[in-house]
Amino acid sequence: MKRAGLWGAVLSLAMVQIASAQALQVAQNRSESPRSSMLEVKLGSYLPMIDSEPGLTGTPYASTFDGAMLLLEVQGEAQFYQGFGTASVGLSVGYAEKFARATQLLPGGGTAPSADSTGIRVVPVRLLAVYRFDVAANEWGVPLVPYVKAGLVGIPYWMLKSGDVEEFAGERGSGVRVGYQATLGMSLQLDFLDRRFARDFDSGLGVNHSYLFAEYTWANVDNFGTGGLVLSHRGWFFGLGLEY
Amino acid sequence: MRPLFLIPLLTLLPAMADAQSLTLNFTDSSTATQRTVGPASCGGVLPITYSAVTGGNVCKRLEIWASPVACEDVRGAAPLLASVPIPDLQLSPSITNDLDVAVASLPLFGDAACADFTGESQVYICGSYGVRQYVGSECTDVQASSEPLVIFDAEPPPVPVVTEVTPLDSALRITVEASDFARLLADVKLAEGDEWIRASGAVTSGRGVTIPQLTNGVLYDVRVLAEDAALNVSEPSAIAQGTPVQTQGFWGDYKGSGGSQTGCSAVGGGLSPAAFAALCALGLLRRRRS
Repeated sequence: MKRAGLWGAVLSLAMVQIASAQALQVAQNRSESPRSSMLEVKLGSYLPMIDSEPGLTGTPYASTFDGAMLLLEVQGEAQFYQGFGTASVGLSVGYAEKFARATQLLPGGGTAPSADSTGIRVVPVRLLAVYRFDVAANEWGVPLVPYVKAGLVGIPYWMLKSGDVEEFAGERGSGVRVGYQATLGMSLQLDFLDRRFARDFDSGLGVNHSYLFAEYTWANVDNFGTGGLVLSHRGWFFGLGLEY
Repeated sequence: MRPLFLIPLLTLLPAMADAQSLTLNFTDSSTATQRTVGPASCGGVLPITYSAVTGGNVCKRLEIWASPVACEDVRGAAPLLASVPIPDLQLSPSITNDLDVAVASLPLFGDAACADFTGESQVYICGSYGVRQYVGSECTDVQASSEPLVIFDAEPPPVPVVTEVTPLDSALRITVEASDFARLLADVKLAEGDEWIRASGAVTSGRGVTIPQLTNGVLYDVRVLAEDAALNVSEPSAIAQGTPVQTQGFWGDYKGSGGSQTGCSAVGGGLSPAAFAALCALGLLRRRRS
């Protein structure tokens, strides 16, 4: 009975602590500066599903590059709804590249590795609608913000050889592919780590909240299934977000 | 009354003196502080821009001169390159002029002519004018805050050493060991031929130069020359050989594997929002039709 009483006291103390922290968080949110935008910087792997194109007789991407690219993206959002969660429109721009050795075509018909280089560069551009369920963070002090994104994707690409866009049978290896995407993610609101610093960040620079986040993206970038180069991808992104 | 009238004037004039300045720059670059030239520039000029803010109370003309040692506040016996008389400075308290300095006229070459000079020499471009801080005071020199340095270098760079010839598609890349060069020049000829041709489209990058527009499968002799900032050219390197080979990049691999994408260079060159929206709409339309 004594042990049960002790545990009950500890639990009660912890609940009081959490409740007071939640009350403090909620009180701070009510006194914060107006917020209207979000800026994200994120890194992820980009493995284009080029080899999945129907009709391909080989796996040219895997044979040449054998691996994913590192994709860096910057995303800006303008919030248009703040109520039960936050809704916004966002535009992101990224960059990734991958290089490997080109293939030497031997006079007798075979191939061999060459000293020449070949590569692919992509600049994914995404126009997104974003919904963040930040009610729990702003009203109840739970520092987790799940979110969804959906929208259109355009990926300009350049396929290079010896540093220039490669030509094959009179066709240049550059263009743009379009498609759509959906993203699910979870943000960790960092304010709870140092509430005073977070408050100063807001009053000094106008940054209401900082986030670390992880998100998973499904992107179908094949000109809406009409054939040709498939730049679709699935993968994780990790990054830092600033809401201001 | 008169002394009382002078008090604010005497306090005002030193404040005006603080704003007096003279700057000298190479006209084609406001940030570069030195320029290296060589015998190839003997017939040319160096464009210099000078800007002076005098405040109008000028007592000695503005002079621009060339000095083999760091600039002092007076010209002395150094050769005068340009001057602006006092009345012009008094009429216009702020002036900016361009000046073309003939390289051959600079005191760089001792008794030799520009084209015959060997070795390295340098001069500073200097300037100053005089002002009175207040009525009745001595004439004080205002010296240029910047001193463009002209270096004349008649020494060719060391001969480059070819370390590798890399066969590329219709091209050869030659890697060299060399120092003190701004650009690499390349000569090329057929291995069986006699006539060297300077490769006009050769591109220097890093420690090498790429010779384009060659024929795959043909053996070439190549040699490299280093050119420094003063456009001095070294003696040619030892002769090396290479054969361009036909290569295929990823785009070729993709098309060779049956890839159905057609080249779209016009759009890929630059994506505007309108083009993005049009392509999206086109893609949706094509999907509905199919």
